[in-house]
Amino acid sequence: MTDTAPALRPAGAAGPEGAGAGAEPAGGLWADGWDRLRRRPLFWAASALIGVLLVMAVAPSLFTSVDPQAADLALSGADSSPDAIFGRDLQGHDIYARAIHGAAPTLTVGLLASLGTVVLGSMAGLVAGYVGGWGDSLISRFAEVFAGLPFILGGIVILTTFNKPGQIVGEVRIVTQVVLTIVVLSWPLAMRIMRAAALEATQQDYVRAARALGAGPWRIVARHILPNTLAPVLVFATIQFGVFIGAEATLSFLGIGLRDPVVSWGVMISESQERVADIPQALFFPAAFLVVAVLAFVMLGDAVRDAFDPRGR
Amino acid sequence: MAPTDGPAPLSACSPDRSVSPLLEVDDLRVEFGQGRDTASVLNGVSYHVDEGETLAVLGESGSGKSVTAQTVMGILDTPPGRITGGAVRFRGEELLSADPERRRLLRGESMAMIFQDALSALNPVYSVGFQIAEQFRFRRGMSRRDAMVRAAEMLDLVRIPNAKQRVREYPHQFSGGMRQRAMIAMSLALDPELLIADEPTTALDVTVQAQIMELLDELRRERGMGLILITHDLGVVAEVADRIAVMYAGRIVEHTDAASLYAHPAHPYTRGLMDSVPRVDDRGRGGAGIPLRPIPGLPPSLSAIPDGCPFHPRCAHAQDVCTDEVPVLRELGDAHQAACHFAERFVAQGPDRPTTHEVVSR
Amino acid sequence: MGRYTLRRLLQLVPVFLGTTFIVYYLVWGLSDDPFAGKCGQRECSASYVAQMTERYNLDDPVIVQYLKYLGALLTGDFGQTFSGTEVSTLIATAYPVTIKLALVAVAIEAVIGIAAGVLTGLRGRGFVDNLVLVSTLVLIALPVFVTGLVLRQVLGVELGWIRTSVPGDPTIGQLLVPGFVLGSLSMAYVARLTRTSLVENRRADFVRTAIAKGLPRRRVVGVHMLRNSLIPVVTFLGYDIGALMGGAIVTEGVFNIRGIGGLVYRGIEQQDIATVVGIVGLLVIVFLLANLLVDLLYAVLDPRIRYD
Repeated sequence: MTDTAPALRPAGAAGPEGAGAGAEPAGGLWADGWDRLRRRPLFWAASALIGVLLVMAVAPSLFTSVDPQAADLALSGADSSPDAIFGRDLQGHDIYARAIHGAAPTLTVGLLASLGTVVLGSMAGLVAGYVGGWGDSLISRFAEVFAGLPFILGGIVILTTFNKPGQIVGEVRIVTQVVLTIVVLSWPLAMRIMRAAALEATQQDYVRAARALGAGPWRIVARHILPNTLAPVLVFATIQFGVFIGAEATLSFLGIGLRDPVVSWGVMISESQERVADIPQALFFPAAFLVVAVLAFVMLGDAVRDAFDPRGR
Repeated sequence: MAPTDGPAPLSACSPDRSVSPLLEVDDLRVEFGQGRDTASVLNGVSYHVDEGETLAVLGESGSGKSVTAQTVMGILDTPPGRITGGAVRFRGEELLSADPERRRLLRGESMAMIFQDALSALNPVYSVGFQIAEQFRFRRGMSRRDAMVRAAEMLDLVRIPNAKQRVREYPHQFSGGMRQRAMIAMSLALDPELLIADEPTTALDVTVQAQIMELLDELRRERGMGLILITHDLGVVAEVADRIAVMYAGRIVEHTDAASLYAHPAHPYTRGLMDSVPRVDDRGRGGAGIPLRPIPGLPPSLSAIPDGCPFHPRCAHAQDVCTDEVPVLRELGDAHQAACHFAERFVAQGPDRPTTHEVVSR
Repeated sequence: MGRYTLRRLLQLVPVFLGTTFIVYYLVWGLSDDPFAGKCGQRECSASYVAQMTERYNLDDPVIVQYLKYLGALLTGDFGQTFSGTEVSTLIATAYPVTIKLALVAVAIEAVIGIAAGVLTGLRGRGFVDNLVLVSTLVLIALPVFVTGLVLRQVLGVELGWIRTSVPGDPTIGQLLVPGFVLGSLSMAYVARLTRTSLVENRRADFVRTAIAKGLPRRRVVGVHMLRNSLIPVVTFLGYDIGALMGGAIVTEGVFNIRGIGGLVYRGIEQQDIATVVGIVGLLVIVFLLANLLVDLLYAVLDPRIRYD
């Protein structure tokens, strides 16, 4: 058509008929997304918070030198003082030190759970969406079995089966159990996202064309389907990270999740509730840490979604 | 060429008339966006329509045809749109400064609009009849039942078979052509004096296109409506238009009666449009075997309209004057106006086909 | 539609069987000694063990036990707890409270969520929009038990406006604060969904058509913009009713509401198999049926949706 085009602006007319999509910068999907992302204050605020939390988890000694397990019953419920700025809980623990040390287990659970959910769910969804037919039906029904189980109810059933309430269990074992419980109950969500994306992708003409040209299933999945499903799954994983931190806290709160000697914010909240009237700081500070952490991940997920999938807002 | 039912073409085009026309758009200017990205979408558009007359507005997408229509109707989204100057007069009444309620009452009643894509222009969750009946209920105060009866009559009027049953169906249950008929029925519900059809046939099959155009033309004649037909398709225009206004980059670049336009296109852009349309008839300048000659390049970005004549980067005949001076829309005689520095030369050339009109020499 | 409904109902069967079996197996089949702690400090007497073994078919393999239990369940027999109470009686007293709480929660989240979403969706960007956006973020980030504990502490203990413990047969008024807590997360989602949906529809072609028809502004907004925008919101609320009817363990715990959540929690703690499996089965059925109903409702709300 435009073989003899003189020096013209190559960009399409930003006319009213096409208004709205006018100011798209050139570049790939990822470059565009990153461009939009870094212009958002929300993204930077969330990233900064998460950065601080990560440092807290990796090197708690940067923030406090107090042993989180050091208890002085004589100081039970003490108000804030120079050596324990958030005050002390019922057992006389330094709340500040415990809150700092609570970051590591909390974030570990969140990270492993969202990784596990995404990996397990994505694989199941990919197979279901790509294979289709009875394989899809089988996986979908199987997913519904777990999706139909209310999260907290399922968590209680699983965790009480493996640990009697009040039983003392090792740190690694309880963290593993909590992570696996969350994964088992949450993978159907990731599976649905991936299945929908894979189904949509397999209907695309270019995927059919690749198939017709003899591309094998691995190649089609790796080259055509996965790249298109990455953005929604990434957004899901980020938001779920925050949600799982909340889930861990809820399970701990019910006394079936993490427990002493592990210190997590959920554990601290759980311990505080008996005497919340007398020692409100024991509830307030870990709750604040928890909310800020969840908020940071939800905000990050929001920003990423806005940047990479503007329609999904 | 269809015979003209309205006033004689010459009087319709003369600028000073004692009786004000049905609709007059005068030097309309609209911008979109802010700051550096401001797009000048309309840069002084003027046209008018008389009762019972069909004005075709021709141009590529982005030339401002639809924005002009939306501004006339008062349904332009502001923001992002911004009316920066000009006037729209309906029977002499200035609309841009009118009270919003007054404008609302004019919509449907005095002027109505048909949109390009009837599927998205109709609300998917209400039946077609419900959407037509709404106007009878809320503008005529009819009961729900009476309004539905009237809606069925309207569907019958646009020749939808089984109107009584179909009135209860939803837009997605209609075929494309039937949907556009329903859209027309809806626009005619309150018996408007002016109908604006924004690319009414673009989304349709070719066979259906002709039917819809025929229907529109017939309804216009029966009701003595003014019709503004917005299109980018010269073929659609030829059959029904009395006058044609060609738009480019938010300006009218040529304006005349349909016969003269085909006989003596005065603007290179108009000539380009004609050359880029395939013709099956032997009257075409090429005839069989001659390749189409599309206009090179793309319409300019409206936030960076070139200096001088906005068409010059794509114009094969561009001279120095074209890059320096903006050509104004000027009278060439015989109610023919064009915005080209060399309009007279092109008029004299004419297309390579027999013409019934006297050649205007320089 | 009929065939679709039938197919969906058939699909419920394997899901129901799978869920109940998993729970049955976890609570009962994995246990080394089902009688541990059932008789206080002492060992259970041989006659008691024999009686219970008989009642719960403990000598059979787990799968046979499960099938026998299921057979009884299908005849409407929920079985008995270890102490001999009919599980159906327990459910009959507890479930109405949970349903009431769920309905209060959904009503609150619908009213506040939709109002906030409409307010911001119609106004567009500005102070109110940002305020609502930030509030929804905070609500999403707040775990239910934190909201619950804080509100119980502040409104119940410090201000004395509500009772920290809700009575056995609560009134709507007594469930307002627990309902707010339970619905707070979904409230944020409802507000965001309404806003997104409205913003999308505000510029829709059919809205422009409605304006071009000269309809009054109120009609354009109320009938053309809102009706279309609320379809996904209503669907979400429907799914949420189904979810809330089974998931109020934490809220019921914080406010000491004697609903189904507390019942199942105690049942799990005491390894009371009949209570747990019975309730889980019931909740799963309610949840799945609610989803089915919402999907059918969706077809009614949006005539474009056709199943089959």
